Amino acid sequence: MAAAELKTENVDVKPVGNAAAAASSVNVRVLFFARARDLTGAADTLLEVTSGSTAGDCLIELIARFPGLEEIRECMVLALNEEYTSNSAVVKENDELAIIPPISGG
Amino acid sequence: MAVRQIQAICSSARATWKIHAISVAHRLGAVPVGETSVFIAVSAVHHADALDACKFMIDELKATVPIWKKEVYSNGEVWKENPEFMERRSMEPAGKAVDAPNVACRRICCGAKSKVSDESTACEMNLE
Repeated sequence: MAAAELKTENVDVKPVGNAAAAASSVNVRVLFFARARDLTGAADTLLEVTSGSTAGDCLIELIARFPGLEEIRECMVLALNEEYTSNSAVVKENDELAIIPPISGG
Repeated sequence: MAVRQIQAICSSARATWKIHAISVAHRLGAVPVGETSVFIAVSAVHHADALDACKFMIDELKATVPIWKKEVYSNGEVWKENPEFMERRSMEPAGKAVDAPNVACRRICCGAKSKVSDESTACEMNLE
């Protein structure tokens, strides 16, 4: 996205283009556990999504990047910043999203 | 998050029963067959409160605490799945995990993906 600069005298103009670009995406850290770790081959990854994206949107992006995750899509749950969350929760900059396959503690 | 969830379960137990002290411990890493994975102790003036709180806590732990167990056999390995978690998920309102209202989570999700064919072989558990 190119910054738009107005070259006029005596006018204090902020580079609106740059400010908009900075706020248009958020970085989310994603953690994979158990079977999810097996399927992705990674313990974690970084995701950049458009501002206002939901946990569900992040999941769609993750499955596109790691198609193996489709195997557990129906049974996994998500946690945002160590709290269970719904697909509709909006993710913010530096949030931590955990992919949680069926648990087996106890 | 597991510690956080366990603390939340302790708080819930205290809100419901009149109990004195609680202690919860869970093994991590390799656990040989026959050894204990989890320990919950509850003390109270009345034994019914202690026992009810203890039952509640183990049930909640199995349904909600993000800890995983992988059983390792000589011919393969399988991630265990707690029925308590699967049942709790199917009771959750739509939007908790999967928004499709008629999703019936299969009884076994990842468990079916194991390479195990003979379940009578000796195994050890890997907890993470």
